[in-house]
Amino acid sequence: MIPLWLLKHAKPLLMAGLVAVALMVLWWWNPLHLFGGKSKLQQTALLVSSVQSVGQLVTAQYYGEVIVTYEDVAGSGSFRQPEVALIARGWVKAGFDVSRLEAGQLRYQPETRTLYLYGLKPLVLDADINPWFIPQRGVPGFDIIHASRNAGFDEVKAVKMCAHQRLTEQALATDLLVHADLNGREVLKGFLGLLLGAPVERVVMD
Amino acid sequence: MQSTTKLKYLGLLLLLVACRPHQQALVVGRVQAAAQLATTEFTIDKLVYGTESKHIAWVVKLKEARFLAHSQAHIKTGIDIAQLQPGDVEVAGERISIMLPPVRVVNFSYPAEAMQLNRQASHLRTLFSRITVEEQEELFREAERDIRHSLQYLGLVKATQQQTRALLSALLHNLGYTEVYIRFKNDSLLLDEVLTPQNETI
Repeated sequence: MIPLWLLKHAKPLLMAGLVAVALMVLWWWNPLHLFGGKSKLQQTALLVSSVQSVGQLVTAQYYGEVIVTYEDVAGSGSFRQPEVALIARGWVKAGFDVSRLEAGQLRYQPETRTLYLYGLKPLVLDADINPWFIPQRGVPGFDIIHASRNAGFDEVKAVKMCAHQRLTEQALATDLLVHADLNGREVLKGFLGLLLGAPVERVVMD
Repeated sequence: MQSTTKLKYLGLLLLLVACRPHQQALVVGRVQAAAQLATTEFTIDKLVYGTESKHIAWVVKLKEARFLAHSQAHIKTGIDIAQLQPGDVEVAGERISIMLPPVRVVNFSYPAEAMQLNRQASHLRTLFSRITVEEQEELFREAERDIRHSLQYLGLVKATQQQTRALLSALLHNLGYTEVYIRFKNDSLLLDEVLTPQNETI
């Protein structure tokens, strides 16, 4: 009785089955997030948790790009080891800490138009790789090229921190501190010259 | 005849697309000069809360995947001293009057090491939804955009003006001035920009 009925309605049943399968495939595929499934940031508040006074003179900055994989962090392990590869773009800024510049550290000799600065050394002030590198142009700080299914938040974070270290090393290898020192003298020559109301032709740092 | 014209237009279009400059290549791998004085550092806390859920027939919502992380941004503000012109400084004996350029963001830092996943509240994978690491990155990008858009409204300008006055007043007193007057050209906040070779000096 039932097989006869099935045979009689085989064509419409087959069509209904095909439509159901097509809908299921479409649902799993979810093109253009037709059925939702797109991650959405919920509104949360911002909290200014601290305000600190600093005194930093940025005189040179390096913009760089590095490629880092999870192998660089954990070494080559078993075949089940998580895989992450990303391109990271960021900057390293160098200059001087002038927050504690005191009267004794600064001396101007009008005869030779020379400014003497004591105890100022160039140092790395900031090294950053943010989620956005150039937000106004849509260039991300991190491009995740590949991440295996077993790679999660912690693995990606470890790779990002390794990228941060690599970028700093890369910047220092391009003599960032030497540039910061040279340009710092020019900047201080102009800036302190204006404040002194006297011409400064040379800056000597010791 | 018509097909020749079409080909010409197609060629012109291809030429326009192909000749678009690669902007990223312009900015990386070089040291550039700067002259910015950072006087204040703000720490901003933000919860990054993202959800993802699928629907059946656009109506029935299935169990959603959740991502919750604590993050912190560090923003340094100050002034661009390269903008200070001789006309902005007046010196008369032991009295100095300075007109400083507007406050600007000297450095924006949204570091990965300060991003902490809340494991209790996060549910990254359900039967039908999954928040991938790529999507987590996208959530952090949106969060950074949120912070950047809110900078104008967080009272950064007044606090920075106050700190800059304090730092420069101490320096100017050390230089021998007894009367110090510091003003700012305006109360706007300039955001940080990645320098391109057009405005670099090294």
